[in-house]
Amino acid sequence: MRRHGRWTLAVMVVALVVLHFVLRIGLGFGRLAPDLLVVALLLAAREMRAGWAAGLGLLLGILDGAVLPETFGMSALALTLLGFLGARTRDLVSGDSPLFLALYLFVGKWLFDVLMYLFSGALFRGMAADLILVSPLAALYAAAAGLIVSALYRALD
Amino acid sequence: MIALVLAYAPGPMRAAIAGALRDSVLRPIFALQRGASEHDARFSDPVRLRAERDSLASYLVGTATLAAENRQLRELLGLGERLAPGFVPAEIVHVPGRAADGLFRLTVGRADGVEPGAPIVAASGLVGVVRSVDEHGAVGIDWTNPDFGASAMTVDGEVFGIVRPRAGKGGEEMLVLSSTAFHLTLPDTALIVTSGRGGVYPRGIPIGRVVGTDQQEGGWQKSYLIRPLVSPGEMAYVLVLRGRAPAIAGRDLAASWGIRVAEPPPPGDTAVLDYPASLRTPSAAPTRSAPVLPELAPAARPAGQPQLRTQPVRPTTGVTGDSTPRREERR
Repeated sequence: MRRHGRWTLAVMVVALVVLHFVLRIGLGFGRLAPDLLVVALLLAAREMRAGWAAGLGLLLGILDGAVLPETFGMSALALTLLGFLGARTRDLVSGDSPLFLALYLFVGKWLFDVLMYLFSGALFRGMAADLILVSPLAALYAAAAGLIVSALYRALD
Repeated sequence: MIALVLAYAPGPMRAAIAGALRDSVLRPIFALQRGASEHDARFSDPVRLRAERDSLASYLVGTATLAAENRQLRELLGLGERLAPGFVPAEIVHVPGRAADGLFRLTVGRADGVEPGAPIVAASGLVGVVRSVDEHGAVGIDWTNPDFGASAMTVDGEVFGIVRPRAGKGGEEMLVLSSTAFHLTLPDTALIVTSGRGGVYPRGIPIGRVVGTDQQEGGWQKSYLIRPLVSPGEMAYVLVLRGRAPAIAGRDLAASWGIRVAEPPPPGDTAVLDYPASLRTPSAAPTRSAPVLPELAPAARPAGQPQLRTQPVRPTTGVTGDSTPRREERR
């Protein structure tokens, strides 16, 4: 996706972020909607330098935390780290195959959940079962959504 | 660095930033949320609404005489109307996947008269408490949140304790009633209500039923596992008590859920608790409480709070716009 223009990437990120909040909060779909915020960050991080990706993560994290003040800061920290790590994956794997992309999105979303549970202390309150049972399903869902978004993105380009 | 600062910034500062974002960038999202919830409330379940309307009509017809008689008797006795605090209907919106279990958003806020600390209830009983409030929204915690805690008691006011969330067998989300007197034993299915102590929850809101003793606590206190009356799956449409918590803390809302204690039996007998059908368990014979007469143990009650006594209580719908706490004045 590196060949795509900066503006196309920006439009995709904004569209995914808006869709995320509209589906999850505005229309109240909750878990029925995939975590498009993380998908947007992970897809964009592959196109950006690590510092910019971390900045985007910070921005998205602040927005995300504003919904629930109790998680404010935690999601900013988690998404900043995720953006930085996502950008650094280019040093390891440079391909854009669907299989890699699916794995990248799956691991990224699961890592985000792990970080959130870690920062909130929920991991130590007996909620680790959620990370093993629920989070992988949510990560699969996000990966599937990310693949569709990526395919649309390429088709439109 | 900025993310770290935000994560460990003081709570008021984070709340201020989050509030500013909700009132600006995220404002359309929350406006959409309010519109969607209002739409759902209007059109989602007309059959249920029709059934509730019919029940209400039947109830009103059946109790109109009793209400008039009650009013006349109050006038004769010189008692004023003691209105229950107002409830604001609200919808709960969960924000999934943010390691924030037990935290949710409410579709009502300061503009609706909701303030931090306001109890959140459902038709079955206690849901949780409001934690922070915006102009048109609020954040609350339910009883599954680790920060939840409430002072509780049995309906007859004989056994007091603190309820907190605890995982039961098989990871089932339950509550535990701890710090209760060692010499008193609660029977299974005993109803636990808020005690009104601590100034957060008014007295008399049903919390749950005893399902057994908690094996984790020893010493000179007993703990009981409580199965809450409101399961997490039921937390969708709720009522938020309007007004400041201290102002309603002294009220007894038990009658709002149709809970009453029968006439004190003659000495030597036990106090018989009588609950409406909606609060009874399937096997529901009237539950017997600890064999202590309320009148013989005034110290067991919170100071300044009259005991629950039998009144000509009419059954209520559970929604208490007009219900009056039916405590007997001690004169």
